[in-house]
Amino acid sequence: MKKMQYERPVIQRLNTGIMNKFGTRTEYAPVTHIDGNSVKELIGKYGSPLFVISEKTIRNTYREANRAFNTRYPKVQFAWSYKTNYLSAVCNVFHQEGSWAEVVSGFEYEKAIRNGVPGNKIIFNGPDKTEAELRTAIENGSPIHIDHLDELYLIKELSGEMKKRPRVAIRVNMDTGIYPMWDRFGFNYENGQAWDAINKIMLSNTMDLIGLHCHIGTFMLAPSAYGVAAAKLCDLAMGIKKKYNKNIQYLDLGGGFASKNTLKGSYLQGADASPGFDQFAEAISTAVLNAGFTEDELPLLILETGRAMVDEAGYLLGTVVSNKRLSDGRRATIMDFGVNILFTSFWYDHKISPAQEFSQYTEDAVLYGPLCMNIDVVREHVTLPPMKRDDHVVVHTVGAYNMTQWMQFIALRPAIVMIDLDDKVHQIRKRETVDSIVNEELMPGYLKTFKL
Amino acid sequence: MGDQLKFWLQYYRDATVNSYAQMFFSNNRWFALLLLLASFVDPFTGLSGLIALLISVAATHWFKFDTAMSRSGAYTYNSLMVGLAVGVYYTFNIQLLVILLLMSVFTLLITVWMANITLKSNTPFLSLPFIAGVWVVILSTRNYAAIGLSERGIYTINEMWSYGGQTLVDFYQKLNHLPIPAFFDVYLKSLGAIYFQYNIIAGILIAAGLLLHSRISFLLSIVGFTTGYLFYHFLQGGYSEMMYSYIGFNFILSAIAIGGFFLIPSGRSFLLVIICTPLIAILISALGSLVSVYQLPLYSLPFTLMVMLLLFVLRLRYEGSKPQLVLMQQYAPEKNLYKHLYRKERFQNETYFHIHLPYFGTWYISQGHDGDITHLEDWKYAWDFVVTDDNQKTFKLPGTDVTDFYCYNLPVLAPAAGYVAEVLDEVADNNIGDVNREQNWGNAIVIKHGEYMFSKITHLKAGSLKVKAGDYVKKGEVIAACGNSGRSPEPHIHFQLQATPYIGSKTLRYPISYYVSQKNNVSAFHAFDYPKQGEYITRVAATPLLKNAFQFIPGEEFMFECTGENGKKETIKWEVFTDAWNNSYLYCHTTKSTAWFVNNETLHYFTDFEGDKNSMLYAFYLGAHKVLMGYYPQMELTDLLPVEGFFKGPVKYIQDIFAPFYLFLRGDFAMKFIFADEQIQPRTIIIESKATAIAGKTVSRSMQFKITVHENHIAEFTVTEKGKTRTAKWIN
Repeated sequence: MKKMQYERPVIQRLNTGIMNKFGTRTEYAPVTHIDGNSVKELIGKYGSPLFVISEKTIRNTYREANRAFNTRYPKVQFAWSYKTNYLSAVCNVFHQEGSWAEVVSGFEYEKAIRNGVPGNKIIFNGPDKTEAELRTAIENGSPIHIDHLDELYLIKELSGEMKKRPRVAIRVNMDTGIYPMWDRFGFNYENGQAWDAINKIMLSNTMDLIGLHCHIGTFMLAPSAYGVAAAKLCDLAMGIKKKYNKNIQYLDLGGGFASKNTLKGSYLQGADASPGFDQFAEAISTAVLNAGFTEDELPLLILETGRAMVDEAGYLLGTVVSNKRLSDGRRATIMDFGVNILFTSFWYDHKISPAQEFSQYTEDAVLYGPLCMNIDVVREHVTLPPMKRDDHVVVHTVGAYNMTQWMQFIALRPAIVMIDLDDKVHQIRKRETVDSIVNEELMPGYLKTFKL
Repeated sequence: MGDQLKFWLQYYRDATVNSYAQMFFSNNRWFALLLLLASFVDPFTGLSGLIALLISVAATHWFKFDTAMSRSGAYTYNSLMVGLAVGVYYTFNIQLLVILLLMSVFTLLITVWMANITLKSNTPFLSLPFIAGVWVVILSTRNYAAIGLSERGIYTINEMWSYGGQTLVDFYQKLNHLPIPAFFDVYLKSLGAIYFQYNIIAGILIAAGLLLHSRISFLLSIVGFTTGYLFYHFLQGGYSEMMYSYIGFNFILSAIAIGGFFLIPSGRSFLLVIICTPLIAILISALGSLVSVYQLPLYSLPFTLMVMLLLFVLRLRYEGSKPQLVLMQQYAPEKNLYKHLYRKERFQNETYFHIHLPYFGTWYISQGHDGDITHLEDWKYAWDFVVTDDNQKTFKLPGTDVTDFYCYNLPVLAPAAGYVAEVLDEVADNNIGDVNREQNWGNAIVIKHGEYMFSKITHLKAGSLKVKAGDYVKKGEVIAACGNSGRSPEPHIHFQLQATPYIGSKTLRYPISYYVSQKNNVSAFHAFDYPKQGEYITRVAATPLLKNAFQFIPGEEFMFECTGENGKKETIKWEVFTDAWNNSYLYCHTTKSTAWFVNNETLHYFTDFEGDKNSMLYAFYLGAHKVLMGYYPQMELTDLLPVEGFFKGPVKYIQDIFAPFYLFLRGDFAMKFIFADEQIQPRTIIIESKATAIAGKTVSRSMQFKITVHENHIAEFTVTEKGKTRTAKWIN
C-alpha cells in the first residue's frame, strides 16, 4: 500500500457568506506535467524557479490568430512584438510561423537582425530612436513608424544626406472610447496632428509613406475599440488617396489584445472576460472592408499582438520555501520566486496550481516571494491546499513580459526551457551566475583591495 | 506612296506563291516554289498556269475582293489550275491567251461565288470552280477554229527535242525509264498530274516538296494511293483507267484533305481515308461514265465531291470529337495535330465563366461533388466548406455552441459579379447537431451571373444578409456571414452553381476558375477545376506588381537591349497590338515575330507564336508561357509547350510520321517565383522558369529563363540554353 502523504492539519473558520452552489472556488487541481514533462524532473534538472515555454501552445495560438484574421480579410501579416518576449528561441518560433519583427529600440532591432529577420521585415516603433539606429533602419529599408515631429525632421534630414527614400508610417493616437487614451505616442487623429504629419511627409517628397499605425492600449477587453481605430485609420488612408492619389500599403493596428490572465480587481476570470481573436478580427476586418477600398486597394493588415500570442505558452515553476502564520492569523507561504522574476504579479492574479496530489482541504493564504522587501507579494489571496517546504507550484500564463521585464534584484534570474512539439526539453536561457553579473562590472584599481 | 507600292508587291507575291501551295493544302513558301518549278517541267503548261494566276490575282486587286482571302491564294488557285489545264491541252497562240484571260477571271468569279455559298455550310469549295472553268473551256473551244489542241501532251519527246535536243531527250528517257516499280511510277506521275505534268521529274519534285512540307501529308498520300491501287486490283478494275490521265491523284488529294487537313490526324482519320478511297474509285468510274458522254475529263471532281460530302456531314454531328474537325487551320497536318492537342490541353476551359471561391482565407472541403451525405442525385455538384485547425477539428472546445465553430459568422463573398435573384434570411441557426428539414437550405442567396448561370450559397447566419433580391453585387463583395441554418448540423457554407434561379434548383457541374489547393502540405494551383473533398482551398490573390508588369496595353512599346551568346548587343522593339478579333499580341519589329497572349487577373499566358524561333520574343513566349499573377513562392506552375516549333532536328520528323497514332515528344513548362524584395508591396520579383523538350524519356532540349519584374515592368529577361545565355534589358 502506498504510503499516505502527510498533510499538516488545517483549522478553518466556518464562513457563512452568500450561498454559492459551486462552493468556494479552489485552484488546487494539481498540474504535475507540462506538455508531457514532469514538473519535479524539470526542477530537478534545471533548478527552481524555472520558466517553461510550450512551443506547441505558441504555434497553436499563432495559428488560431492567423486563422481568425485570414478567414475574414484577404491580406494579413503578423509582426512579433519583441518587447513581449525577445528570447531568440521564442522569436524564431514566431518567425518560422511567418511573423515579421516589431521592435521598439535599437537593442531589439539589433536582436531581430541577429535572429536573421530581413531588414525590410522589421517594423521600427517607439519614441526613442537614435540617429545611428535610424540610419541603419533607413539603410535596411525597414518600415519606420514615426512617433513625433522631431523624429520626422531627423528622418527627412537623413534621407537627404543618405540619398535614400525611407519607408515610413506614422503612429496615430485617437479616442476609441478607451481610458486611458494613449495620446503620448504618435500624432493625434482628432485634433489634426496626424494630418499635419502626413502633409509634412507627403510634401517633403523625400520619404515613402507606406503605412499608418496605431496602438490604442493594452489588455483591451473591448474589441469594438479596434473597430473604431481601424475605421479612423481607414479614414486617413482614404483621405490620403483623395488628396495625394496615393494608396497606403498597410494599416498596422498594433497589439493590445487581452490574454487569458485575470486582471486584479476583475470580477470574472480572465478566461471568461477576455475576448478571443475572432472577436478582435471581426471588429477590425469589418471596419476595413466597409471603408470603401476597392479590392486591389485593400491595404495589408499588420498586427503586432504580443501578449495574447505568448502569455499562455509560459509557465513558471517554483518551490515552497516556508509556511508561516501572520499576526492576523492568516496563513502565509513563501515561494522561491517573487516580483523580481514575476513582474506581472503586480497587475494579474496569476493562476497558481500545486504540482503534486493533495487531499480536498484548502486554505486561504498569502503568497510571498523570497525578496527581503515588503512589496514582494505574488498573490494577496489564494486558495491552495496546505503545502510544505520543497513542494512545487506551477504559475500559469506568464509568457508575456516577464522574461523581458524581470529584474536581477537581490536574487539571480532563473533558467528558461522550451518544450518542443515532440515534448522534448531544450534549455533556451542559462541560469544566471554571479559571473553573469560581475563580468559586466569594472573595478577601479584603488578599490581592488581592502582590509577589514 | 512607297508603303502602298510595297504592300501591293507583297500582295502579288503572296497571292501567287500561296496559290501554288494551296493546291496541296499548304502555305509553305518553299513547297510552293518547288511546285512552281514542277509545273514548269513542261514550260508551256507552267507558263500558261502562271499567266492565268497572275491575271486572276490582278483581278482580285481590281475587283477589290477580300485582301486576306486573296493574299492567302484561296481565291486564285482554281484559276491557276485552269491555266495549267489549258496550257497542257491547247496550242499556245494569241487567241488562246485571250481565252485564258477571260476564263481565268471567270474562274475567279465562280470561286468567289462558291466561297461565299459554301461559307454558310462551312464546307470548302476545293477545286469545284476549276472543274466549272475547265469544262466551260473544253466545251466552248470546240466551236473555235483558232483554238487548236496541242500535241505536246501526246508527243512529249518531240517537244523535248525541240527545246533541248538529244541530251534532254536522253535525260528525260533515262528518268522516265528508271528501274522503279510500276506502283511508284504511277504514284509519282499521279502527283505530277495534279499540276498537269504527267512525268516522273515533276512527281519527284512534288514528292520531295510534300515530304519537306509535311510528313503526315506524305504518309497520307502513300496510304491513300495504296488503298486506291489495291482496290483497283481487288475489283480487277481497268488498270488503264488508273494510268490514263493518272486519275489516281484524287486518292492522294482526298487522303491529305480527310486524313490531316480538315480533320485532326488520328487513327480514325486514317481509317476514314481507307474507307473513302474506294468510294472515290467508285465515283471515278461512275462519274467517268457520265461525263464521257460529253467527252469531258473528270479531273479532281470525285475528290472534291467526296470531301465536300464528308465535311458537310461531319459538321452535323452532335458530338464532334472523334474524328475531330480542324477548327483553326494551320495549313499542315502536323501543326493541326500538335496545336489541337496543345489547345485542348491548355485552353479547353477558356470559355467558362469565372467563378471564385466565396470566402477569405483557407477553408476545408468537408463534402465535395457526389458526396456521401447530402450531395446526391440532382444536387450532387455542390461543395460544403468549413474551417479547421491543424488537428482537422472544426471547432474549439467545448464545441457545443455555434460560436465554438471556427467558420461561424465568417464573411461570405459574392463568387462573381451579378444580380441577386433570390434571398431567404429568416431561418434561425440550429443548435449544434440539430437539423432543420423543413427549410432545408436555411438562409440562402442566389445570384444571377448570366443567362442560365446562377450561384447559390446557403446555411447563412440568420439576419446576416447584406443584400436583397435585385441588388447588384461585385465580385468578392461581402454579402452575408456563415451560419448554421437549414439542414446543417454544424456551421458551414454550401456552395453550388445552377441553371435556374430558385433556392431548391438542381446543381450544375461547373468549375471554380482559379484556386490553390493544399493537401498533405503540397500546394497546387488549379485553373477551372473541381475542388475535391478533403482539400484545403484558398483564393488566388494577385500581386499588383505582377499584374501591372504583365498588363500589356495595346500601343505600348518595349525597348530591350539584347546581349547575344557572343556578347553582341542589339536593340529590339516589341509593341502590343490587339486585332479585330480582340486577340492581343506582342509584335517584335526587329524580327517580325508575333506572340499571342491572354491576360486575366490571375494568369498571363501565351497562346501562340509565329515568326523567328531564334528571336528573343520566342524565348519570352516560352519562358513566360504561363505566369501566375500572384506571388506564391512555394508553388510550381506547370504547363505544356507546343511540339511544333520547340523541337528541332530529325527527332521531330520521326515524330511527325507517328504523331497521328503515338506521341513520344512532349514540351514541358514550369515556373516558380524565387525572389521578392518584400511582401507588402514588392518592387522586384524574380521568376524562374524552364522549358524542356522530352523525347521518350530523354531530354532533347532544355532552356532556363529568368524574368526580373521591377517597378511595374519587365526589367530583365535571360534565356540559357546549353550554358549559353542571352539577355534582354528593358531600356525605355
